Amino acid sequence: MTPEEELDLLVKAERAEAPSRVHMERGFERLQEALGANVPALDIGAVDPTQLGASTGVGKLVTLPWVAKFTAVVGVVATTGALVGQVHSNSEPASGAPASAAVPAAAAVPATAAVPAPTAVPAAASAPAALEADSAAPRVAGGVSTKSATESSARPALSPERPLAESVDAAEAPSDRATAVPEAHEPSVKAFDDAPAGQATPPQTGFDAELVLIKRAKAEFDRGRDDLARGWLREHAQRFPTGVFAAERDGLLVLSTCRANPTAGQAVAQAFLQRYPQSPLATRIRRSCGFQ
Amino acid sequence: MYRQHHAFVWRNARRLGAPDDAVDDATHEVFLVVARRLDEFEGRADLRTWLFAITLHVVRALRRKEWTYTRRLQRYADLKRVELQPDPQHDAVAAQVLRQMLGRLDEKRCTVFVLSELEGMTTQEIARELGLRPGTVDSRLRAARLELRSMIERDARNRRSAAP
Repeated sequence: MTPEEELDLLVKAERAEAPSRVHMERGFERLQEALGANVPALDIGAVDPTQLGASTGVGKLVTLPWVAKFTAVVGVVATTGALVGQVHSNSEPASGAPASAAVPAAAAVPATAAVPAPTAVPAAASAPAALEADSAAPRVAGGVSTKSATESSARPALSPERPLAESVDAAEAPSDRATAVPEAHEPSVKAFDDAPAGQATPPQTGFDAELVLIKRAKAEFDRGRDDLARGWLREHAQRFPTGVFAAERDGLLVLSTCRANPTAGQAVAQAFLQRYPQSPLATRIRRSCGFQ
Repeated sequence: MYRQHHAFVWRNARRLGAPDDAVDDATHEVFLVVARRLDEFEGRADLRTWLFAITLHVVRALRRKEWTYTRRLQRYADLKRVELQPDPQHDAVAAQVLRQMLGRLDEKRCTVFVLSELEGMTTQEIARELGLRPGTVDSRLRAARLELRSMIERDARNRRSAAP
């Protein structure tokens, strides 16, 4: 492929990029809040489009070559993966069962909140609290487990290779779709939700982007806005199908589904428990989805 | 207005150099500015060009904080050097590669390239909106393409020479 052809391919790919509807709605909400709270806009001086072609004023963006950035992402994931794996082994239940190869190391990420965060990934210190194993969760009425097997088996089967998000999508009530289905390609999201205004721009890494998505999903889940939570989880599933937080994503999806539709929830919960038997979320899922 | 132009601002914030994780913030800031200054918009320029100009200003402001980000990124990169092959067939990666390259372009060339190649504006439109002569727009566009092609060639060479 010639450089010209490759450039055309890159241009074509970039043209196809677009934010999702969920993203836009969240941004709109945020803007309304800011305007309501009279948050001042960034002072950017006079805006004259005809100056676009003239002086630049500010120096060029100091950007590392893209190869270095991708390398960086891999480096971060590899580094944190090792840490997470370590934490995971410490956080397993008393059974002492070793982390199975089938269980991603990410299943233990919740525990990172309890250990010193790696300096390279400060956001890990604020990992979603809900990901803590067996944290207090509303217990689902025991009646759920008495649902007939026919109802459960009518739900789509789950394949180990298939992201749980897809299965949950299929199992959801149609009413959920109208508000939460992201469009074609999803944008990345800002990191460090909790960082005070004016702080340095957050790093752009796969780990951080994943973490932000999971945090957002968790925040929406905690607020009871399951449709928005599932929107973020779907975005994660699309962008990071086998990401570091895949197990957390699937766990949150299961909890959210159990709350919205206990019957469908039990089917996906069963699949989750088979796939991640050692997950720190397993007990909570069993409880919330009516298995206990 | 937000709903109509959100995608425009969002994608161009990325193209102008806002890191992926800061695109939401940049978009948010742009619309905050728009909300405060809408009465300043006199219709002399196309609304989208005005939005584009605000987006560029906002991204520049974000860049001032960029040093921390790049320094940390470099530290990550030093942790483990792994050579990744780009796959232009993979759209998301390809789009990201292009945005990274745009970040290495001269800002004036980058602006013209984005408006022309990515937003589909004609030379005449860009010249009118930016107050440039059409010939200047064309020459910046040619220079941008040439520079981008050179980057592609250089990266390919680097990959080849780094290969075992």
